Amino acid sequence: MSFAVMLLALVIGVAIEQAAPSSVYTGFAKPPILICVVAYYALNFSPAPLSDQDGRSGQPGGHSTTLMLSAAFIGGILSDSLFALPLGITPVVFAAVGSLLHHYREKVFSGKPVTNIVFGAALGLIMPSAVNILLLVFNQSVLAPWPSLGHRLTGTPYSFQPGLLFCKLVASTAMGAFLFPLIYFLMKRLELLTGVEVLRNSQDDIDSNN
Amino acid sequence: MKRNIIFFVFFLMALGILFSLPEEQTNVLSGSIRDVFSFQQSALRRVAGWFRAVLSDKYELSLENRRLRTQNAKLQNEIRRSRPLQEENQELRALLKLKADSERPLLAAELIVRDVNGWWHMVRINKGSEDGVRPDLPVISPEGLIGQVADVSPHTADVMLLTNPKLKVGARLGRSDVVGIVRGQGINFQESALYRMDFIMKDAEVSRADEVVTSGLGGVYPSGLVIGYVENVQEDASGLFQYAEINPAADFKALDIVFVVLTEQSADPSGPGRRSHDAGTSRSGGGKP
Repeated sequence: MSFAVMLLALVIGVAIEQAAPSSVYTGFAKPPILICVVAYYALNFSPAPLSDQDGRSGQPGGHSTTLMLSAAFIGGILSDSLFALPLGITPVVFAAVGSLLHHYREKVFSGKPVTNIVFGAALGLIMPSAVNILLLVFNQSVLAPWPSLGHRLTGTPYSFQPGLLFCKLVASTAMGAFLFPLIYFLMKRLELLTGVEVLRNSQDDIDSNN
Repeated sequence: MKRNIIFFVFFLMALGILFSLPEEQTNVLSGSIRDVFSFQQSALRRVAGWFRAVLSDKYELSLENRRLRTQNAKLQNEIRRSRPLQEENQELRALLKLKADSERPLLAAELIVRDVNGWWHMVRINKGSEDGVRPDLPVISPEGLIGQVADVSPHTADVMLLTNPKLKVGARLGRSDVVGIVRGQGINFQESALYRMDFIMKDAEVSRADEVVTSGLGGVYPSGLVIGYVENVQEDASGLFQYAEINPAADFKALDIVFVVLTEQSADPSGPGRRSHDAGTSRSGGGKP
């Protein structure tokens, strides 16, 4: 069920992201919806349940690494296919960002609106920066030793325009700050509506009791 | 924990396989995904257009307008083809043993995604290899050349716009034999595009508002497609050539219906152009220079 909800969120997210209008003033930035969905699966966790009467806490619950990496992979493939990027670039960025967030989520993420805004802004900034770096690196033919690999990735028509990139980064950061709290809230509601959240919490309780 | 590590290794392996797949295979995958979403994009655009038209009480007029614009574009193409100068051009072409390629059929297509990825200037149209579209084919609007087909899937095609600085077109001035290479200069903050025509001979006479058309050299673009009009001319840094800033003939903000300039082979459903893409999707290295 969790997987189906994730797939639904990704499909709706990519459709909205593609249909969203863009302007030269925003550096043609698209709203970073997919990375926000991946970040939700990386960051969302339940507080540690009490495991026994002493009050010692058990393992905190939350989305698994498996689900987060699946979201990164599927979301990345959808994104690369629809946005005409070389297939494989976005899954790498999604997975790297998702893994980092997933690893430190208990230390840095509280789930409060302010934290969500800060994380959203960071995601909005990181995503285009990382894609820009990868496109520039691939265009420099650093993959020359691997011709079969390099041919596909170095053939992009990307040309670096600093002014446009600056606009894109600013716009994407702003959109991320606005969108992530909203997507986090909507994803929580969706999981509650479909029963995923309840099921996961029950599973956490069972695990901690055992 | 162990399960997570196993899945992480599995993920890395999947990425490795994805990166090492041949281009044709990845294009089949990405083309299929594009096709699935193209129906949703077409529907969204239609619904949005319908709402706009109904709200402004101009639905019938907009349909009529669309029909007339299509007809207008075809007629303009006819006029262009029937210019007396064209005959002279063809005679010269025959003398030079060049293939006369101005008789190429047009395929009307609708824009379904205006800005594909935000990294380079590309639009998506609702015609693909099933309709005879092939990579590298020129795409025009009623006003002039807008770019060339880059990626093709069975039901959609991505068109690289001429505003992209990496796309180059062999060009000549309409009223003379002065040739050069036109390259996009991106889009400025007034959201208007600008091209630059390089390698114009130093002693060539170039005037403001001169028409710039495709030269036909290189074989990708047929000759005579209008690119734009000269805005100003300057000497380049080397001092050996001139360059001209060109105002595009096409209005990129108002793109709605465009035309793919087909070849005889691709227009023929049983032709080799069609057969070569039935297996899946194609991407041209030339389409992404």
